[in-house]
Amino acid sequence: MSKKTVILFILLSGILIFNESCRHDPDYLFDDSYTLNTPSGFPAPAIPDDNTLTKNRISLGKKLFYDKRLSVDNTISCASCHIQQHGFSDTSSLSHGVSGRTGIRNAPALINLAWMNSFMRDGGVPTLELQILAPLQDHNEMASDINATVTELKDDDYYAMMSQRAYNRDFDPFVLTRAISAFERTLISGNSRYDKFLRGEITLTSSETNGMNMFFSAPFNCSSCHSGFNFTDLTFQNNGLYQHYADTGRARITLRPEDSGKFRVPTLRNVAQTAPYMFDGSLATLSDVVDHYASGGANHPNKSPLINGFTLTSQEKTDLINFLNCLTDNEFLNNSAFREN
Amino acid sequence: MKNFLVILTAISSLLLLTGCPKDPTPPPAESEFGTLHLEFTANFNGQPFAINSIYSSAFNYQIKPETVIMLVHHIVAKASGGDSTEIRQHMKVDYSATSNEGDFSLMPGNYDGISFNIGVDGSLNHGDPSALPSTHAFSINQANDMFWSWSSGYIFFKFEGRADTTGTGSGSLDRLFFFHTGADTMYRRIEFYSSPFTITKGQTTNLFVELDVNKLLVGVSDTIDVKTDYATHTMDNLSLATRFVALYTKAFTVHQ
Repeated sequence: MSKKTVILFILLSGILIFNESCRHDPDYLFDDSYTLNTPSGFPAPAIPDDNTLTKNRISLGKKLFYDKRLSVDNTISCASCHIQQHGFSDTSSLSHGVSGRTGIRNAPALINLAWMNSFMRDGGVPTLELQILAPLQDHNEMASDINATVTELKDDDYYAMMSQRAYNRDFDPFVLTRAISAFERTLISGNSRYDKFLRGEITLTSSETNGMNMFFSAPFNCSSCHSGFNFTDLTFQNNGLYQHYADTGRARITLRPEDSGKFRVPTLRNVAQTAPYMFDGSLATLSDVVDHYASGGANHPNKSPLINGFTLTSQEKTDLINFLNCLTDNEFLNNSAFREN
Repeated sequence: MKNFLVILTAISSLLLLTGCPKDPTPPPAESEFGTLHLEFTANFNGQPFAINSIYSSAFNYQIKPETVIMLVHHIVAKASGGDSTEIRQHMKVDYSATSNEGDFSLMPGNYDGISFNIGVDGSLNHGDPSALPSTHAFSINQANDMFWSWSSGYIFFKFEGRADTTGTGSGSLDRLFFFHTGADTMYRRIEFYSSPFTITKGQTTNLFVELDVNKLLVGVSDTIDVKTDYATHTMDNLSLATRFVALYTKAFTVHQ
């Protein structure tokens, strides 16, 4: 057999194999892999082994995130209370659910969830996947039963197809909770004016700089809890909002009296867009928040010892708020990848 | 080539002769076993029990139980002077269902009795029910109504209903009550190791675990007055949940 015949044989075999592959698998050339865009200065996130990120999973999750059929009467989606332009939080003090019902807490912002170690304002839910069940089945929010929701959605052609592509199984509660989590882990904010300042790309104004210095130093102590790349140390703190808490917060989970009135320290990224503030949305503006901490808060046996009150001038208050405004990430708030298709 | 074949044959023979020398004794054939038919049943103070029926209870109250469900973990049969055998790991007992039963193969012999746990042990209690197979008794498909999604834990025992607390039998049933107990500290083992039974080869032995629903509220040393103590999700009323758990651990009997 001549060399030419061998080369011809190899070429023809290659073409035949390629054609055959394409004929049976239309996605042969589709690259489903997804690399999380981790901003500089952020550590690597912990992604669960059973829900590594892929394009199909994220697409499926986004579709579900915006699907009102997740609620019992098809009126509320995740996005109803988690609005992108507000850092995926809500402008209402308390979440609004189906049939005009009102939830018990302010909807938290969905930002940099891939770095969270527990979920809900009381930290009662250990994984993002499990957290999906909470609003979906809460009587005051979506009031669904996940099994009924799955029964309704599994015949949807898109969900049936994407479920197989993304998780290689029929649409079920596992797929629903994983897919939404996959999408939510892509909601990353790390390109605010402050981030650009840290990277040496811009300079802050003198007011912003003064506010930054206040934020990171005594007597204000903001960064004692709002620390690190995500402006939270992920602890649970009683910030002296009330003398008596109707909602006991972390104690509801741990049953420990010393946790009463404690709630997770939230991220401050995009904080200017996530009003109202506190676990119950009781403070309407950043100015109100600064006033609360300046007052030292209400007496409560569990109040953080860091909250002792302070005095500041009107200009200092403006400076502090101007710095908080520097944490707004317009690229995140307007990212078309997060919008409903 | 001839030498190679000789060596190959020798090695093969050696492997055949020495392979798996420590294989365990093969399990007995199915025909060697007998069957334990275990059934969870209920009564109300000795009367036949049915969900949504109305019964007289303490304080001359009328009680209408609407939901009685529990999660049972690790049902064990203890052989007399021998080992314990876990006959079922997970079971959801819903007293509104037509049956809560199972047939289990056991080695013939005398047994001291059975034990089971009400609740879900710590290894599963904080897991993800959507990751369990859909046929699993504690999966989200089977036990979604027994899972607190806001705190990621199971409701071990759920007792809900209505009561007429006027004491006059007016039938108004205006007091809603619910007892939802969970949390690791509420996991309880119930033992009936003085309720012997015998398993005979090829035959079925019936065993009934009977709940007296009235005893969920009325005990020897404590009685819950649903007029005043009518609601707990455990965390929001821990003292009432603790009382309720103490009552239900004494509310079962076993008989053949």
